Amino acid sequence: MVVSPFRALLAAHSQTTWNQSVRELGRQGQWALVLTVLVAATFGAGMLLVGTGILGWVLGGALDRPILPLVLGGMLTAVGFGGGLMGGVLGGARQLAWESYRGFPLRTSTLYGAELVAGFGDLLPLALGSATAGLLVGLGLRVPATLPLVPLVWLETVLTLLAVQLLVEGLAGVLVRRLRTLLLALGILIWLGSTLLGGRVPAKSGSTTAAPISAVQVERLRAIGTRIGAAMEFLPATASARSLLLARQGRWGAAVGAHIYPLGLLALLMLMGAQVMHRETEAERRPEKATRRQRLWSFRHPAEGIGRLHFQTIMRSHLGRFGFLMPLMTLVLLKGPLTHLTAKASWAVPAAFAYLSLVGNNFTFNQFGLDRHGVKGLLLLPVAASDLLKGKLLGMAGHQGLQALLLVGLLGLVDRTRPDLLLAGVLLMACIFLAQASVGQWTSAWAPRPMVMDSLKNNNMPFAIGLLSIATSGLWTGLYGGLYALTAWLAPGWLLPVLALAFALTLAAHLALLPYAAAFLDRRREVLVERLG
Amino acid sequence: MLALELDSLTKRFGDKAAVDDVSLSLEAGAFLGLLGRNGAGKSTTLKMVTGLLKPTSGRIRVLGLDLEADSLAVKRQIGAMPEDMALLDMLTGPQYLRFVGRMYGMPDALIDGRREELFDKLDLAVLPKQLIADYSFGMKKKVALCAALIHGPRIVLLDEPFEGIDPVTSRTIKDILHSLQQCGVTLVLTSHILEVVERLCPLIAILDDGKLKGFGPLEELRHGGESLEQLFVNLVGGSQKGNLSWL
Repeated sequence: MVVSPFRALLAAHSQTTWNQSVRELGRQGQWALVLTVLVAATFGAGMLLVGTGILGWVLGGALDRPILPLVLGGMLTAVGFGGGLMGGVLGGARQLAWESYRGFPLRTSTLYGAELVAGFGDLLPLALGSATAGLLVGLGLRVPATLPLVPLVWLETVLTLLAVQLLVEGLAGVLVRRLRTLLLALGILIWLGSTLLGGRVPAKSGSTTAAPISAVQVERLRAIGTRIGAAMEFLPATASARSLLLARQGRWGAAVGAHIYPLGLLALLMLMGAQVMHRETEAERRPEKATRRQRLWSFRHPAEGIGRLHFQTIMRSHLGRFGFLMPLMTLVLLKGPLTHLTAKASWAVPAAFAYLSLVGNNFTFNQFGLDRHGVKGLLLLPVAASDLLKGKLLGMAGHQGLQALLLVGLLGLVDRTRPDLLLAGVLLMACIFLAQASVGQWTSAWAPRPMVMDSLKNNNMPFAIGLLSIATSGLWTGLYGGLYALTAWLAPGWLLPVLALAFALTLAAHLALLPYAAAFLDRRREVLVERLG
Repeated sequence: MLALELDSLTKRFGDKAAVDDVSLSLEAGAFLGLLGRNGAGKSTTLKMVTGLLKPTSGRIRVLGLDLEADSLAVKRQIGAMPEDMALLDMLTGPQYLRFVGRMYGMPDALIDGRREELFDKLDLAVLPKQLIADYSFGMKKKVALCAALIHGPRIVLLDEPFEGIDPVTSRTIKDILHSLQQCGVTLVLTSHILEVVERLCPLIAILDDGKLKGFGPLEELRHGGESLEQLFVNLVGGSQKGNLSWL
């Protein structure tokens, strides 16, 4: 039986995923994971489908209202474009190593199609795809005339998500090769972000209590709403949503015609994604430019040398460079909306720093991942395990510290945030980083996974570690964020001293735990060499 | 019919010419040993012929087909083992060869049959669930060689095929290469082991700093029966640097 290259690529994807899980978790761990995922999927997906189905049923009842196509269009856009953007940024697209493809007689269209479909096998597209299915089926059951169009609308939305995911990841990969271009893109995004947010947020008063919303603010919000509504009329997903209304009215020609625009845009997205992919498969490695003399190995303490090495490794990796987009995304996606949504705008600053501290989880939970084969050289050095871990911590701290500085600069420039709030935010971020790094020292030795230096793809954590990182992220954010909230509420003047004390205590706890983590690392040296070497 | 034609092939990386105006042609069934120092341009040349790199200028024709215009048809005729092997290391050896065979449109039964024969010939004994990531260097090299041969290519390009291979397997590979040549397959290999090239390859090309310093039958290139090593040193230069100062 001859198997088409398309199916062969998909088979290789699923085999790779399965084999990697077996390698990382062992057979027993894998069965436990499968069981957990099955139980979670049964209950989670069930609730998701029922929940979104009920929502769809409710929306179906109001299909004739003029606002509904806009609401539904907004929801489908959030799934298609928002989900795709998030998936692309998180490195969710599943792709096999390009180097292994380039010699084969493969058409770009085959390769693109297979990578697109394989992308559906990740948690985010699966969850969003199921939610969209529930929503549309619920709506279709309430308004049966729309049912024939439901599969088309679902397919458009999910394919948009997958196409955007691949495109974002491909473009991000191209961008991060040149830090200067990345920074230029960052500047453009700042301008776009601040424009979209409707101008500068007014400077806050000294008080952290809620101020009553004024008539001017209400008017401004209404104006923003009108502008957003007008913009949403042009969304392709709104055209899809409107086709459901047209189908209900029995205007089938117009209903089908309404899909020309979203399908055309989808085709364009796919064409762009395929073009980026084609360029990438044709890409060639240029020899590294001669850089100024490195001083990697001149240091007073081994940890300092390891730290400098690790910092440079992170900064040279695509994922590390991409991290410098995160302060901007934090500002546009988190801080801005939070400021608009809540009168207590000052909460937005710690939330932004807390979020920023968590986006480096790929590095903190897999501290030897970027070393790959180099881990052998690292472990051969006459350096104690505790110094290795300290060095890793210093390197990551440098990387996250630069991101924090960037966020401080952005908040100061764009938002005119008070310096004491900025400093408190940095301290909060440092606390969460230290706590996460403590956990990461164990996971890095327990389940190391090689990370790719020159690509954003396939750098996700193993599934079990991913779950753990979500849990600990929630724990530390709750703990330190709660401390911040309590202090800001009870004694705002004590915010900085309290957070400084929290930082000192976290550092002390980190150093107290370090010998145990180092002993664990010593016991796991063989595993590190086996998995990474 | 010419199997491979390189016409004024040039590859520049920034200001540096990795391959500089190289022209040569090979008849079908030829066996070429491509020699050169580290960084001479051997691997870059092979990567351009396999379509992994685009030439800055010049033209490549494979079995009468233009590589630029008809790259898929050319790739179907080529079997290549790149220097870094580029294997999907989260697959097992048999899974990987299935993947490769399917890329060339081979039926699964044929892939499995050929894989068993290749594994047997190369003494490649792997555990059923052992991933390529866990293979030794030599085992990976053998899998890469199997992947280059499994679809029955008309041109085989091997970058350092004997590096990290034990003497017994090395002998087997040489036998396989000989039998391929007898079947009319065109072979190009790079190696730093001059004795191997001297024994295997009737044709020699020597690159230095991207330029073709010598190309032709080995017997014609060496004057007065000098060894390949002497010929190589004469063409690319080289000097005695003496002992280390602290010894």
